[in-house]
Amino acid sequence: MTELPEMTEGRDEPTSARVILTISAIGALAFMMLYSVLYPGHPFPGLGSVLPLFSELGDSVVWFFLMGIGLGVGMLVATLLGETIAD
Amino acid sequence: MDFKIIVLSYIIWLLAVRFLASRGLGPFSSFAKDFTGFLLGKGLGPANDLIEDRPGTGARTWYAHGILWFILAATLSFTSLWTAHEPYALHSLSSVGYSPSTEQATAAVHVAAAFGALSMLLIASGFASQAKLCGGRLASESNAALMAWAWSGVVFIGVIISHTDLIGGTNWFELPPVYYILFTLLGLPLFFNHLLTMSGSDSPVLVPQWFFVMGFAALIWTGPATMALMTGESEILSWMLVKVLFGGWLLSQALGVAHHVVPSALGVPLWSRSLASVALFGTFLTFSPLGAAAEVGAASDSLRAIVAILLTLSLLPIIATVANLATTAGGRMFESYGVKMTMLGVALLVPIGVGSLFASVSAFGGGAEQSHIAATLDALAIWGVCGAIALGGAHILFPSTTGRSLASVNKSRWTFFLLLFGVLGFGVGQLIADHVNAALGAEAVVAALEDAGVTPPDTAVAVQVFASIMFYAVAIAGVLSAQNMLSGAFRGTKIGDDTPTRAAAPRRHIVTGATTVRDLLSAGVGLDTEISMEGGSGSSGHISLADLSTPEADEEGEDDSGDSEEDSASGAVVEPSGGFSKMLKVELVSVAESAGLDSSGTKADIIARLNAA
Repeated sequence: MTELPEMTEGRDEPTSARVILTISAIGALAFMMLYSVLYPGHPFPGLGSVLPLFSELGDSVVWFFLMGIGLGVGMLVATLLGETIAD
Repeated sequence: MDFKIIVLSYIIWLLAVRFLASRGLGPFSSFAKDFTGFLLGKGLGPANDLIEDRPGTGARTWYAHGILWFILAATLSFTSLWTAHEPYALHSLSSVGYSPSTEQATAAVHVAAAFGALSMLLIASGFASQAKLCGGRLASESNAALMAWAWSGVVFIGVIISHTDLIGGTNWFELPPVYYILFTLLGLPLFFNHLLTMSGSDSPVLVPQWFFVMGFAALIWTGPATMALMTGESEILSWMLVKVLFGGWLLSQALGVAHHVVPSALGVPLWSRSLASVALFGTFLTFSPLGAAAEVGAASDSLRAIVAILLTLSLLPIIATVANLATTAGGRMFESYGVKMTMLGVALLVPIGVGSLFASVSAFGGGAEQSHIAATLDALAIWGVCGAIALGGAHILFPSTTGRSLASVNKSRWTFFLLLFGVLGFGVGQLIADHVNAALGAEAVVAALEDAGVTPPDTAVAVQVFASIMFYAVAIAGVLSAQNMLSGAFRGTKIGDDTPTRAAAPRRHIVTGATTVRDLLSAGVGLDTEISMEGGSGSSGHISLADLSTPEADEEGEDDSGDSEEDSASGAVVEPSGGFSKMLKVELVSVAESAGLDSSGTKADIIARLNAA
């Protein structure tokens, strides 16, 4: 009798998996936007509420987004420095 | 200033450029070329020696600056959108002196987006296209690269000035008029660089090249025209400047890039030359509907009618472009993410163009009934049309300036989808918010709500949040593009390495027993390879394929009869030692045909059939 392994993990990545991931991300984003509807009276925590280091920035959510752009630009600078030094 | 003089000066200038560029300066042509070449090469003195005059240097520098301005401009646009519904979101930055008013933030976005991000990326693609069409390099690469630094500096100064009290109340051209003449001064050497590059090429001038040259002519016209604003505020001149900025400059450069990269990347000729010509002339000889925020308070009925007709006629080049490029690309547009981005921008031209047309017509001496959506339409024209084409052009042409491919197809895919959903989500959300705000802000509605004691719902705010978040995707698309370009410039596959190259044919090839030409070709035998027949064939000696003559009919018949069974029995195709993928397509076609297989389709298709056989 052939014994099957306990479990196997395929190497292929079906395209539909990415679609599901994207839809999940959009859905999560949509629910976050409905935060004030789901939890009325509770403001969405800003960056300053999560990280005391940034408490002076205020409680606006926009700082999360700006931090993302900042990280992206930081990665650009790091890549540039790294590649220049490597060369 | 009189409207007729403004329009006539613009048309005459463009026609003169077109005439002189196509006919030359007669006996002065040679002198003009030498003198211009000297000015471009040596006019800047020692500064020119700072940058190497190597092929691709100019376009690469413009790309580097352009993509950074893209990120900055998209970030400024995002913060402007966000502060529209949360005015104090960035209040903490006032401690470091950054607290722009709405007008100042808008002016900064306009300068950074129109003159920084889009102008620089489109100029870069224009230079890369021009170089590819004219033998591989610009007339002066070092001058082009130096001008990128100067242009970037002027844009930076403009962004700084935008945050001061120097900004005025006009649409798009908010900065002091003298500022815009700097772009004319910087545009002149770029314009001559294009002309000189074209004059040095023997190939005929194509439509994209005319788009680039005429676009620069339009940009150069805006400098002196803005100076005329200093003589007194002129609504009509301001309106005309916005139309030239959008139609004559940004859209023309974008269409030039699109007309080059789509056929070039897909390897198919442009579908229709006449449609391309209509797009070229229509773009410059009509008033672009883009730039819908520009308004003229009062105008005579006849003037309004003329402007409305010229605005409506501008749909001709737009539709011609969309039809031409869509048919050219066909189903093959899905082969390249650069082409997809370009076609996204081209496709968006129609809805945004039609929407902007209605807004523009009513804004010229009419009631400006669509003014509440005009700013959104302008933003869509900037980021949806020109931005998508600029990024698409960069994805296709940037590798030709570095000699290396982009770093990651996955990043290109994410860039495309972020741009697609970002632009569409922002457009839909912001237009809904604009309409709701306009409806709730109407005097009659406000009065009725007050009388009824009802507080207006903040639905529009929620939609504005959605639009802002969706626009954030455009900024991230810029970041991903920059990472893709930067990493690709250092570590991308060298262009040419990924394409199979013909290996040197062996000088001698030994054959044992019977063989076929197909097997010989598969083994890499060339026309001059000496074939040594050893045993089993009934004869021995040396022969080359070039020496083979057409066998006589009777011999052929004998061979056919003798080998028919063997052929049918040995129908399997023998894979060469290096694999089929190392062979050129023409060789694969030959092998497939000799094996009696279908030789149509791509290399991958033929290899799949050969492997199956």
